[in-house]
Amino acid sequence: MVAKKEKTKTNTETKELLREASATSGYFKREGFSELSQIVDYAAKKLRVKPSR
Amino acid sequence: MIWENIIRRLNAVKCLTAHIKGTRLSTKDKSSYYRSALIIICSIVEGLAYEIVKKNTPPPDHFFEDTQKYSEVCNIRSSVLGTTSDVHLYRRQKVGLKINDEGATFARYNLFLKHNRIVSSGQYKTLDWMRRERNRLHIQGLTKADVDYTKIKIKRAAKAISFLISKV
Repeated sequence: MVAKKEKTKTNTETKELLREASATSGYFKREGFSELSQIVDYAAKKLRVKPSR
Repeated sequence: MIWENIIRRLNAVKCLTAHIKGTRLSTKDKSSYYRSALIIICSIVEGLAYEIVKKNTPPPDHFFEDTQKYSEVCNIRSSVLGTTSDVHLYRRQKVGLKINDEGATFARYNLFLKHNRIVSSGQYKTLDWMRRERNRLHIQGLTKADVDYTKIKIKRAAKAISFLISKV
């Protein structure tokens, strides 16, 4: 019973992971990011130009 | 100063991910680098969340949540009441939680962002996931092997930087 519960939990976690992976990939595509470093550069650029910092 | 420090940490994430990309590493070693990158990203996201709460609350205290404060009114001895232990009476007061109070946590910042519709429920889900990932820093609280740090997790975390940065 415990083993079955554990398996169900793992399956749910895997499903969630896959769902999130797909959502993340969709987000990257929508926002025009292909690489992680692009987000980092984008964020750094945004912060550098923020007024009154 | 927070902005300069965030930029420094963004650079650290870039260095780490470039290193992973440019070096032949075992999956285990990659996971270690991703762990470090993830923790750094979580700290950046927490900093951004803090700044957004600050931006959306009035200075100087930046009260952002109502909370309860309990102060003891009296203590009735067990011998008087015939109970097994003393009975303590507390007064409950509604007080505002300031952004820099001890109880002002990443979890509460995230809830503020959600309740004030600054982030969507999907974005809140990501932020709360990041908070849980960040908490894996506390090694004593881990109940399973500290593994499974992957590129996709880093990308998911970076997504949070991207959607928060436009709100600061």
